[in-house]
Amino acid sequence: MTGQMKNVLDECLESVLAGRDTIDSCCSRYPQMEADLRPLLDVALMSHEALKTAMPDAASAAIREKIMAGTRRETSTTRRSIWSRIFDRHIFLRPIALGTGLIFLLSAGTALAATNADPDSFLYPLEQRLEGARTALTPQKLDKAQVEIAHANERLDETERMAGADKPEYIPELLTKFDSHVDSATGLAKEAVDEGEDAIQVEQGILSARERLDKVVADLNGRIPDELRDSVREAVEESDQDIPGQETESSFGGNQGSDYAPDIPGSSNGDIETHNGDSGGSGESHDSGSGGGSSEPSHQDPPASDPPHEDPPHKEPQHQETPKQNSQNSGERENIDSHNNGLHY
Amino acid sequence: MSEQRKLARLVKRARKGDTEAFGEIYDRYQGEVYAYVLHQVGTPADAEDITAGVFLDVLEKIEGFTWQGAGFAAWLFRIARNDVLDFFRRRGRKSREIALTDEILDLPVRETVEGQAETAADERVLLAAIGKLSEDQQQVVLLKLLANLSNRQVGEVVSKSEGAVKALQHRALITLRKFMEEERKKDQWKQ
Repeated sequence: MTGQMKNVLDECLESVLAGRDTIDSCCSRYPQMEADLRPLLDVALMSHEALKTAMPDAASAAIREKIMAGTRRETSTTRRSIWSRIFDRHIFLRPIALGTGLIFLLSAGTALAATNADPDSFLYPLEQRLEGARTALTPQKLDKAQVEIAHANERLDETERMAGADKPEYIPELLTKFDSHVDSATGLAKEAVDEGEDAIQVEQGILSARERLDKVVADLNGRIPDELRDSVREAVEESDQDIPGQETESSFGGNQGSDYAPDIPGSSNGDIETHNGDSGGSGESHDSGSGGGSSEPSHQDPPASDPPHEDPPHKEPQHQETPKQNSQNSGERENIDSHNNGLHY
Repeated sequence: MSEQRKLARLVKRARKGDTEAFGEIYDRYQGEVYAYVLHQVGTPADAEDITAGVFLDVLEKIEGFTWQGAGFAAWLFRIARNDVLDFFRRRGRKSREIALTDEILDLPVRETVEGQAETAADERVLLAAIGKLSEDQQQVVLLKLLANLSNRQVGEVVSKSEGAVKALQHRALITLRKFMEEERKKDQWKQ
């Protein structure tokens, strides 16, 4: 009886919720069960009504606009939103759009404020995911690579801001993320070149990002506490390992392999050294859509957590220095310098 | 064109990076996702942020979505469920502890007509009762009665068979009915 009741309840509920039946019509088909069936259907329909909770219009529109803006930004090939086209076509609607936008800005949830959130902000995970979405929705490989380069530069901006705000604990992770973005950009550019596209702008972007990394690291002088120096050095070295030249059959030109080697005070042997050309590559694959944040959840797997920005890794100082051998480095640099014409795939 | 085919076309366009198609998907599901999240986390501000995160997740993953299993809605709500669980994990709380808070129960009651006021009061009692269901029962109630998912889709979201979903639904409705009857008896006593 209970088994039959479960099935009848389910059948009736589905047809009533879909509007194909009423509670009365359903109960009339199963008169022998009506005494049990009707109160359950009543409570189900009442629950159905009670659970309807509308998102405030302002919040809904603000989230929508934010997602759409995030997907449009930096994506020259993406078509414009229907709303912007409507407002462009009907100029008289623009003041309404502006006013409505202001209301959204004033009343929306915290999601709206995520743009430009710094790593020490609780909104930073959302910011990171927006970045991932931007990259994921950029259709062309070279455009995607440009987005990655922009994100890499944003990591450097954040590094500077964290250093300025005396929050160096965030810096190692930011530099690791920088590396991830540059690595993705390099991979995408290589794929694009393999497909016959001209990646010169991306190459230049990668080069200038790396040059900027050198400057940013040099400017960190005096701002990195002892206990974080090793972490920062590791992050920079990891980034350097991505310099193509071995397995990717590509290399950088410009001033890579120059004598410029910024160091961190206390690192007497110049232990935070950029572009040392360490061989072997990073050995890590970086998801271009991750934005350095969440991993890819499949249909089966739950989405991964946001990056643990609240608790940046604090690595214990390792005083047993394992300095990169200068001879080895110079050898790598020769390799790099020998390809002084930009990226070659 | 059937709703399912329309949705399939929208998803196909969104997978190719068509942001307008994604916008239509957002418009179609945002209300249900928001309500589903809100009834679990309890505060509108958190629900808004999580809802935004859910659609960002969808944006990131839609390229890899394939029409297998119970379809797009199940895939979307599975992401939503995981994001809610992730929210609780970050807060160090179990979902059952804060489901259906006073913040939801204190939403304005419609009191324009006497009958409507009574219905609204019943709805508040029901919401409180849903908050007391087991987590599995709560999920089935939310996904079936709020998000209008089929048993198969609900099963996909909560990793249970269709038969198990039917059983959970049956037990949940019996519990809610008993709760309502007890509340009504209490009211009669007060009067």
